Amino acid sequence: MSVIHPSEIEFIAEDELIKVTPRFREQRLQMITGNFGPFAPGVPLKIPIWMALNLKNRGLVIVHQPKWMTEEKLKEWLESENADNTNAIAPLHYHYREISRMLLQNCRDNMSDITEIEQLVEDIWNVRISKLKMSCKNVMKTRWQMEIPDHGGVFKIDNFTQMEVNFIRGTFLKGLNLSFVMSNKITTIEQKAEQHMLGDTTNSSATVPTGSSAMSQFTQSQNQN
Amino acid sequence: MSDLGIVDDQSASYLDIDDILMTENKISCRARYDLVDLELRRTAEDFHEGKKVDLPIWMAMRLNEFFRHEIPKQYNTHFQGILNADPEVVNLHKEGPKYFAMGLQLTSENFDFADDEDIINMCQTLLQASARRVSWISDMAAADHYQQSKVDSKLDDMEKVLRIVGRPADFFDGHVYFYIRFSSKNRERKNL
Repeated sequence: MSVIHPSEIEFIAEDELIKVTPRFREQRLQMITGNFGPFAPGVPLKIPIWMALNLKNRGLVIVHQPKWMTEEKLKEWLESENADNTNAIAPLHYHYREISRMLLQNCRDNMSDITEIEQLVEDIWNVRISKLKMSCKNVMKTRWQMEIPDHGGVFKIDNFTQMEVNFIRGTFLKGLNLSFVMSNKITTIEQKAEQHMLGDTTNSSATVPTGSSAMSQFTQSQNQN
Repeated sequence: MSDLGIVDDQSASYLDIDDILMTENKISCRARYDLVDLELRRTAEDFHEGKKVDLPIWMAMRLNEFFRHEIPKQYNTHFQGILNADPEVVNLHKEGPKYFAMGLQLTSENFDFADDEDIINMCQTLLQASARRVSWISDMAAADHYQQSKVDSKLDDMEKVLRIVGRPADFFDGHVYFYIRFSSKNRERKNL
C-alpha cells in the first residue's frame, strides 16, 4: 500500500522558485537542480525555497512575498471557489498550501497581512477538500447503484493540487478496487445461477477432489443397494 | 488484507496470512451420505446422513462432495436486512474479524448452499455496505482523533487498513502533521 505523507509533498514543493534579495556577495552556484546566479547585496533573484529558507535562517537573505499570496487575490479565489459548488477552480499556485505554510512559519517578518492570509488559505483548503470529498462520496454511491463497466470505470477530476489528491488517494482508490472486485463476483454468480436455472448440466469445478472417480463408484454402489 | 481479489486467486491466497486466518472460520455442514470412520474431530466417528458438524472453511470447501453447507448466521437474510438498513453502525469486527473477505469466499463455487438467490443477495448487500462504509471511513479519517478508538472497534480487518491508508500521519508516527487547522495562536502542536 503506497502511503505518501504530507511532509513528502512539502519536500517536493520546496523545489519551487521564489524571489529573494540577498545580503551577501557570492558567485554563481552550480547545483544539481540548476545554476543560481551571482548573489549581490540588494539585487533580487529567484532561488528554490529550500535554499531560501536555509539562507533566511542564517540571516543572509530577505524573502519576498509571492505575487499570488496577497489578501486580495486569495479573497478573489475564495469567492470564486464558493461560487462554484461542484468543481474546483484552477489554483493560484499548484503548491499553495505547502508554500504558504513554509513561508508563514519561517519568514514572518517581511510579510504583510499574515493572519488574514492564514485564514484565507485555510478556508480555501476547506472548501476544496469538501468538494473533493463530496464527489468521492457520489462516485462510491454510483458504484453500488449502477453497473460498473468492464474496465472498472474511469474518473476524471480537474484543478486539484497534489496535496488535495493525496488526501483521498488511499481510501478512495482502495474503495474503487473493492467495489470492482465485488461487482465482478456478483456478475459471475448471477451468470452461474442463470445456467443452473436453464437446466444446464453443471460442469465439475476445477477443485474437485482427486478421489472423485472413487466417489462416483461409491454413489453407484449406493444406488444399487 | 485490503485487496479482496486475493480470495479468488488460488496461488496468491495460499501463503497470504490474512487468507489463512479467514479460512479458519467455521461453517456448519451436514453430511450428505452415511460416512463411516472419519476422523474429523480427532476420534474416529461415524456420520449418519444429515449429521451436523462445524468445519473450517478450507476443509469445507474441499469436502464439498460429502457435505452440504449452511450459510453462517452473519450472512443470512436477517443480517442482510440489518446491513442494508444502516451499514455504518453495524459492528463488523464482532461478526467475524474478516467479514468482507469471508463473504466473498462464500460466493465461490465450491460451496453448496441450499439457496442460491440468497447468496446473490448477500453479495449485493456486501457491495452496498462496503461502498457506504468506505465513504464513512474516509470521512472519519479526516476528522478528529477523539472518537477514533470507539470507531475502530467496529471496523473489520480490511476497513482498518483503509483507515490507516486514509491517514498517512498515523502510518508514519503519532503526530498529526498537517490535516488539521494551522492557526497562528497555537504554534506548539501537542503530541497526540
